[in-house]
Amino acid sequence: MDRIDTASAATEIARRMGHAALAASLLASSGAVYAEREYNLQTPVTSIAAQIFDLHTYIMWTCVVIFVGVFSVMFYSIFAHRKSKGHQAAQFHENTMVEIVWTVIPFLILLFMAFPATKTVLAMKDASVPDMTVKVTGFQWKWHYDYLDHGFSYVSNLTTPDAQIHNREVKGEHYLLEVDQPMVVPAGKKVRVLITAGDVIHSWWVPAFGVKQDAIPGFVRDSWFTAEKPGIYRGQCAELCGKEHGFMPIVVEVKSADDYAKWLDAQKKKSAASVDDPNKVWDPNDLIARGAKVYAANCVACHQATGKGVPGAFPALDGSPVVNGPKDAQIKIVLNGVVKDGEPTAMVAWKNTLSDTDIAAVITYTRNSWGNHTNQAVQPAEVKADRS
Amino acid sequence: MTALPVHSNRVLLAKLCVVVVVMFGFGFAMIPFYNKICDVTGLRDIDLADKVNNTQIDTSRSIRIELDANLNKLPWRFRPLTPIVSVHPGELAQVVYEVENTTDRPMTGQAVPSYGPRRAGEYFKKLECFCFTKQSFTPHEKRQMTVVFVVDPKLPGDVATITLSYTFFEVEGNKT
Amino acid sequence: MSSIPHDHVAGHAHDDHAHHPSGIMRWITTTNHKDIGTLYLWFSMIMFLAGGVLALTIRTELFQPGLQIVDPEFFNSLTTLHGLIMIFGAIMPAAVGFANWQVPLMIGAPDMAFARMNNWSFWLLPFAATLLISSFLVPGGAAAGGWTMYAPLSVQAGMGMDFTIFAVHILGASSIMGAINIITTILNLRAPGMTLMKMPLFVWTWLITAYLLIAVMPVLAGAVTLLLTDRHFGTSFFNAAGGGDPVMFQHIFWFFGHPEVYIMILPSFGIVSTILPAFSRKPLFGYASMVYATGSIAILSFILWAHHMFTVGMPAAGQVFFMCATMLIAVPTGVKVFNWVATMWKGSLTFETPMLFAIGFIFLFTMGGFTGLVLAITPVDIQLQDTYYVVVHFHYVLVAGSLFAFFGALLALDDLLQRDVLPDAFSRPRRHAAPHSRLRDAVCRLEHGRIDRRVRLWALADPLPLHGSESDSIRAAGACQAMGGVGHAGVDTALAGAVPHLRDAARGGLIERENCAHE
Repeated sequence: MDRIDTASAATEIARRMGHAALAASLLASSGAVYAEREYNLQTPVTSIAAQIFDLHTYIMWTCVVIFVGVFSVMFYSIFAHRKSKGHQAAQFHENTMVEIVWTVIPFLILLFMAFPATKTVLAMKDASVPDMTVKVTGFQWKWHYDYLDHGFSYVSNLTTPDAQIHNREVKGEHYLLEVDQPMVVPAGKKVRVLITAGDVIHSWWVPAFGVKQDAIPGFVRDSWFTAEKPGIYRGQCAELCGKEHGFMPIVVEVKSADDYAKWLDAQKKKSAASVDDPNKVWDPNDLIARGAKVYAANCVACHQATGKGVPGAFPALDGSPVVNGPKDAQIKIVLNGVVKDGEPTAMVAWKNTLSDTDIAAVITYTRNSWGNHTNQAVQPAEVKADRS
Repeated sequence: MTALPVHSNRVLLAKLCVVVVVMFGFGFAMIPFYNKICDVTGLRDIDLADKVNNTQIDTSRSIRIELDANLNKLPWRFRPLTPIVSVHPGELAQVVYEVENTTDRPMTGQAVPSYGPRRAGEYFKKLECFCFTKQSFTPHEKRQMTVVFVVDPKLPGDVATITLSYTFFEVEGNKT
Repeated sequence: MSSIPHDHVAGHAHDDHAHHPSGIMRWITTTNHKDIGTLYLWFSMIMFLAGGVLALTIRTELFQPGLQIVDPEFFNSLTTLHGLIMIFGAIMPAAVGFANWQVPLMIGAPDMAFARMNNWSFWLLPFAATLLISSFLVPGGAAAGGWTMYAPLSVQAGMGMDFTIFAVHILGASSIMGAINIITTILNLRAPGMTLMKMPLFVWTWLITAYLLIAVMPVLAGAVTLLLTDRHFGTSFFNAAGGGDPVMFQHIFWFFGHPEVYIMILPSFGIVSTILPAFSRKPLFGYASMVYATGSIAILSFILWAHHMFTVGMPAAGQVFFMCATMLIAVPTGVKVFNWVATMWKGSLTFETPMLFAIGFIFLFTMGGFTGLVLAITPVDIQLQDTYYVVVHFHYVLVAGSLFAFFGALLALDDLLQRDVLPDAFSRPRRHAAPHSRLRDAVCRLEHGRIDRRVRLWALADPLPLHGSESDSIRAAGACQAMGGVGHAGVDTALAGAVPHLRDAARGGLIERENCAHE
């Protein structure tokens, strides 16, 4: 059994007991046993899933103890107090003391269950300060992953062939649990998942992470996980969402930091390629038109629609020496932001949020608007060259 | 039980008729009643601009605002022009969403805002939003729409990121 | 001694028994609580088989992975209708059937308080059931969104959903009428001396169940009506576009749905509490605490609905509150189980089939309770929600719980009726059993002649003179004759008598009643 390191020896033993008890009771009654058969919750790979696993084991054992206690009394009674053995019925029918005792004791047992459970609830809800955010949207019947920090997204579809589903072929190892593009996240990072749906309610569930969150159309809900170990983890939609509810699995691939960076790079290139070719040479008027939109979206809050900025807070672009000066200097400022005395200023670096084309467009726009008439166009290739 | 005179049946019928009329009347009386309740409690004020009382800018921290756009069974294009902005609590900020009706027919939609984490919603004050009204689009119309908002400085300290998510729904009834 | 049909037809009562309808009309026009009870039980049996066919189809499809005999959409219809039919068609009507049979007898009432409404509340059921089952035949098939009918999936569903909504409306109306009837009967038609705390536990559980029904069935009706207007009249209660919220449906539904699960199990608690003392030859342990436990379960059932919705993303405070409220339910439920075990303790047990069902109930229902406790723990529930764990949990409670109790009650009833239609697993050697009727024998032994008083009590009570002839016949009959010769009277007295608290009721009440009986 692979475990995350944080689990102490004691909980490890408890967990093994959880496995063993369930397995033993079920193995006893089943003839054919397959090696991969699981009788307990999946092996946890996040601290939350581990807490859930331990809670379940703890509560199940408590229940087993009570169960054995209560029913040994009952079965003893069935054995010893039979009429056929000539047992004469007693006629007692109440005892206030006993009644109070067996009301209070269960109550205390429950308190001992509620306390650790509440701690886990609070831990599960703490989605603050994530390392990254992925938006997950459920559709009938596929999942859509949106990497908000990096601006690309893709759809994850079931890949199990129809022939397997209709029993014309032997079923694969991951029957109905395989997709074309899994969600990919780095190991050891706190990943916040924003979950919503595009049509009806779905539910995003990865058992190994201890995350199950309903995807509600019109509303975003957040959850989080920190997967400790690279690997491929599989789950399913857990809210009936129509005909193909059983055919929209969730696959999450947890990669090491390096592998994740490589994957991210490849994805970004792919999405950039599909959006704009940075080597395309644009007509200056198109660049200005596009730049106006980029400006309105990203720049107006500070530099204002008039280009005059806010005196004392945000510099004017209208008539600015930077905007009317060499192209390179302005490109670098937009790409890298302005750093004053080692502190980043309100002029943030845009290289991660805007594409080469957008940066080229917005610079071209500023150089040819208001009182600025440089008649210079900045091409995406120039921006690309200045990145590094 | 004794035999009842025919007269008492008529009385009963009349009483039952009165009950029917009163029940119908009660049903219609519910309309002004609910309107009043909504006015008093502000339950229906979701499509009104929030009031901002405190415009003190808290520059000591900045909140990362993630913008998100969803379509509910609509064949449109809908996206924020900037997916992520950073604001200080109390600071007035403006973001732009772009919507395009990609169909050949005029369509009307309504955007619904949602926040992640959920409790951030009450601190997110929208002064101007395309979600306050229904939005009608001519065929293939592309439009940029703004949201002006302030994050209340009273926002709990452990919230560093707010996701503002809009979902556009088609307004049913304008379909045919 | 079945019905009082003439009364029904003419609208004013002459006790004219010349025009007894016979054949099918007897059953359609009957206002006799036992006839209606029988109708309920037969209806429930038929629906149980119908729902069972759906379950068998489901299990056949699931016999191996992959698609075999039904396609996924139809499979979803099967699970949806299986749930609705079993809950609203099998379990609830069966419980009402037993209430019809036993409540008037156990409290010494001549019939249900509203005999004609009783007829109407039954005869709504076949129509609702037909509507529900015929939805398989409409374009788009039957509702396939689960018995919970969550919006917006149920908003986008086809015509079958409308059939289901109307069927639920009718079933709800029937349940409400039944509940009003039972409450009125219990509160107003008890025999003199039968104070509330002397009522048989089955009556108590049904009184509480009936209150739950009245409280929550309108909520369900409201939920499905909102669904209907969302589907057809352009409202957006459950649609975010119009300011609604899909999750609100779940809140409304489970505000009905959680008390509903207690509606299905509480009458079974009552049945087990009746069967167990009879075959243990020992009074029920902790009668008062049983009543209080049932009451607490009912009250708690209103404040824990959202434990069905731990994954919708409610705030931590909500999750913790609903978790704790849910765990609290374990306390009164535990008290009940302990009381049952204590009832058996030092008894003189025999194991006729009703007793076997009762013991099976305690054992397996407790497993349902323990799995319920595991599910109450929010973090664990988040892993287990919407998995087979939940399916297993409520089948333990509903099949091994409610259904076992009903089978036990049916066999006890059959036994008492001297019909011997149903087989008794232990009856062949009859070593442990009395020669004629096992339960009757057990009850007689327990009663030491109290039955005699019960019969007279019942006959004298008679607050509604509808059944003059019927009470006369009982009045004329002695206790033993009532037990042996007149089957129906035998059941009344025997099951009612199984609760020893009646002893004092009968003694005190009878004298009082006799003093004022001829005023």
